[in-house]
Amino acid sequence: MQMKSWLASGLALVVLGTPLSTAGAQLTGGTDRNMSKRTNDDTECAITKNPSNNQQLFSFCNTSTAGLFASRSTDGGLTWTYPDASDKTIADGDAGQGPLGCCDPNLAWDTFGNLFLTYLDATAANVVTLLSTDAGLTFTTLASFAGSVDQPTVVAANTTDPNAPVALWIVWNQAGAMVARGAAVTGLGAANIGAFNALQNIPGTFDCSFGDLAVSPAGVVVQACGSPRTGQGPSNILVNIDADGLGPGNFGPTIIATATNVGGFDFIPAQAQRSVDPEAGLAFDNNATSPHFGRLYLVYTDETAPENNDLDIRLRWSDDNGATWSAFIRVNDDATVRSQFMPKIAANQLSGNVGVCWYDARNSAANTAVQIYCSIATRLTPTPVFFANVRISDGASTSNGSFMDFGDYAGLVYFQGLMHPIWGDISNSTADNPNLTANFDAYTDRVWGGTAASEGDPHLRTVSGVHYDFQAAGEFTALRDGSGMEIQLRHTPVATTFTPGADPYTGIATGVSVNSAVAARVGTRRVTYQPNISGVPDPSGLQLRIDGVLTTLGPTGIDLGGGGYVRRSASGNGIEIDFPDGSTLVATPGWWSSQSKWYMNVNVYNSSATEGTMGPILPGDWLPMLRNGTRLGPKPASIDQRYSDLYKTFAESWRVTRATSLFDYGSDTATFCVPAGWPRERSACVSASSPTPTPIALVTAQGLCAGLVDRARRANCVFDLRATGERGFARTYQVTQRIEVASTATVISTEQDSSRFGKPITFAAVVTRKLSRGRPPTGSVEFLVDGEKSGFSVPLEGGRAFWKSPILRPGAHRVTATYTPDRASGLLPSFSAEARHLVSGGPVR
Amino acid sequence: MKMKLAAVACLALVPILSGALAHRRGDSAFGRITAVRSADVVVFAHGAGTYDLRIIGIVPPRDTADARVAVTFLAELVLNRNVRMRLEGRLPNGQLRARLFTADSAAAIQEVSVELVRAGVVQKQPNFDLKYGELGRAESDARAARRGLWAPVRR
Repeated sequence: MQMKSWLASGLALVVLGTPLSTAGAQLTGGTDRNMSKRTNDDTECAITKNPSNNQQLFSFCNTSTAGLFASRSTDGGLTWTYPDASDKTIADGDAGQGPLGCCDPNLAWDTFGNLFLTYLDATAANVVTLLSTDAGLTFTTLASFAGSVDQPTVVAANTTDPNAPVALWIVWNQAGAMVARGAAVTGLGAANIGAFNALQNIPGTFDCSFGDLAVSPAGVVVQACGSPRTGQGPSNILVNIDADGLGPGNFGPTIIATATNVGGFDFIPAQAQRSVDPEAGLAFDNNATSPHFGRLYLVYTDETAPENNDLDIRLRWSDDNGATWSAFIRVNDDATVRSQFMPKIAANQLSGNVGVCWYDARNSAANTAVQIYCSIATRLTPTPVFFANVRISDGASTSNGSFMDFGDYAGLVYFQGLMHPIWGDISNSTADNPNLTANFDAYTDRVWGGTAASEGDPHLRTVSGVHYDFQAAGEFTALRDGSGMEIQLRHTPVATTFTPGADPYTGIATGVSVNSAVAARVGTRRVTYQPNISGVPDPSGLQLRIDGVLTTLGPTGIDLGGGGYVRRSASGNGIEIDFPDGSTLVATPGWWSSQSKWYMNVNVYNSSATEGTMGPILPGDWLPMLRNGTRLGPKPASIDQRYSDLYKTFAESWRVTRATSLFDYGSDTATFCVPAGWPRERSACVSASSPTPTPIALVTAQGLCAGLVDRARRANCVFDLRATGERGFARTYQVTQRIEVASTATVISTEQDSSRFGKPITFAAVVTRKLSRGRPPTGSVEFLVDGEKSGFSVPLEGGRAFWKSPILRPGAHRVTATYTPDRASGLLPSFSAEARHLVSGGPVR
Repeated sequence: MKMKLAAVACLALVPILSGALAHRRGDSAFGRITAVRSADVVVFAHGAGTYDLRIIGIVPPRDTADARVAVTFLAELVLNRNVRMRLEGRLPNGQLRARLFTADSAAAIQEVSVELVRAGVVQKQPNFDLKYGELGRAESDARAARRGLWAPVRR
């Protein structure tokens, strides 16, 4: 009977989708997206995101036909459209799309909204820079620098220089050596972009290329390139520093950051025609709250021995703007002797975390079929430690042997916890490459953080997928990152007389506690969801407060700004919080009548946070790091030592104080004044403050938990029911499971944020599975303008619905959409956040 | 029309240039040409090494005299001059397949293969062209002007 129930649930999950929580990794890739869908080769791509609007992205690729492939997204990379839908290219001779393009596309987007595109023109004799001020819809030519030129890189970085809040730099190879020009940017549009400074010849870089440039928070400019440019290696990565940035000084002398066995044209099985180079990449930690603020990272490719094709991705760092460099660390964690190449590095400027993605042949016996892998390193540890590598691309690509191969580089943007790698893909894993596996298309993916949980009594799942029990009592930081995002949980001790057994991970058997409240910092807002702060047991429900103000959620939730949102859980029980970094918290409460206590499952999805009791566990450690970045190392052999590590050192490190607490408090402060020492080291625990529950028999618990598909969750459920006797735990687990497979997200997407009066506007809604993989949602969407329903239900096709509005009056309008699933889909409804649309002109009233 | 149609036969010897694929631009290196081995093979000096480069997209004349003319034209264009080569691949014999650009004058950068075809000293490879049809246009120019191989009466 139990088996049947479990099987039925499993089949239901297959129909509904696969929860992301099964991924078990610190990063979670979505479904690959084919941006180009063309019959030629599109590869060697760049990608960027508007730092002032995280829904806007732009990609730019080399292509084998005229022009350069260009696409844009206005819904955070869910869907992609084209500045020129007729041919999906720009710089192809069409008016207003820049001079004819050859190759080497590169991108930067500044905080004013200026989008910069650089490339080589058709004669390969000019570095062209285009400017777009409308998120990649239209373009003007900003600059063109003539010469025998190659591989330009454009960077637009915020600096502390009041005269150059954004420093724009372009670096390229000219007549064999590296050169650079920079300009100060003070606002949106060409009128706010200063004149480029004189050409700076970077000393000592003849025969050096294929590099990168980065700008420090103070405006110091560092360039890196590989020398020599030809041959199969060895070579050096050279670095030059321009200490005064846009000031009159030039770059200083070359510094050898590292030697590498990869030369400028190093032929490897996976890139047999094109060859690879070390592909040096730079990124500064620009997060002022990061312990390594101003640290410069250098990623590159090395070969363990000359010409053995065992290429690795390596990283060094510098705390003096590139003057001196650390020893290297290896980023890829495979145990093979196969090739990892063409890395791309990006620092999340909001958290200080560093992300790296690359082509990887670890799973190819012939060392020719490559997949995209990514990893991130946290900001806290003294030296970077990368988490387990995660495969991101859904397919494996073997070059078609064309003369392009995968190109010379891939692209990556990392912002607010979400990475968008971009690469040339020939696997047709998306089944929409028009000529199947004959030619490369440009692919991307949305790479989120992992899934974390604190469920039941409580059983934790770290962001990196490790399960362990954490029964301490009090208030703890469960997750946080450098952007200010933080989740705190209150654990309330529960008296027990029976312990079903030791936690398989820690080996510790103790008394238990439950999650009884959650508090979070969401952007600049503080949200709490906790029992009545009077301290009087209140079964009527938990209290939601925003910035300390008791709040009742309406059906559409509350926009917290900056991408933050709080709404009722789609399951009808609990709340969901969307964070600006793209992560989602779901709190699913239950009332324990015999104890007069609230308890809850707290699940966090797509979290890039790397700190807290639910933070990822670094390789070689047994617990997440402490608040100050200290690592506890491998699991001790002694159970006593494990208890001491977990419930003394670790718990106390993450315990919340009055100064750091995000909770709201009434007269009863006992909730956070629980002293250390819970749980006791051995056996069950009796608490004077709560009645002792009656355990449940094993077979009864198994029956109540049988519908849970995830094995660890099912075991936790059985444990909780046996230990506490509270059958409601099974219910909360089931609700959590349902949310994971059935919840959806609706996003409004418009080509433009504004329009002229008199024209209807076409709005698009994109509905996706929020926490699971599977077929696109089916059902319908209704659009609302300024809260007024359109009156039409638009059926979804491929997860998208389009609606042409009536003529809107001049002024600002709020557009939202509600998704109603097909009954058969089993999915849950969702409601979009507001999109703003400004209609200008029109009659004067 | 005494076109050197036999030159087409040479295509079979250049399998890597075959196919109807348009050109894909490769990464580049800046160096100097130290020798011209034939109308489509030069020696490229870069750093401490030298490399044999085969210029893509062209079919040299088979006729000895015509080939000599082509070699002379190529030498005048690039020998002992700075060039930028854009790598397109590698041949089994170790030669690098490349596009070649003059680089001594930033104001007058020329693609060597296009200039060879435009002068009529070599033919464009059938079923192949650069991104914007430069070789085809150059060959049309040469044909229209009856230059080199396309001259109506030769020798």
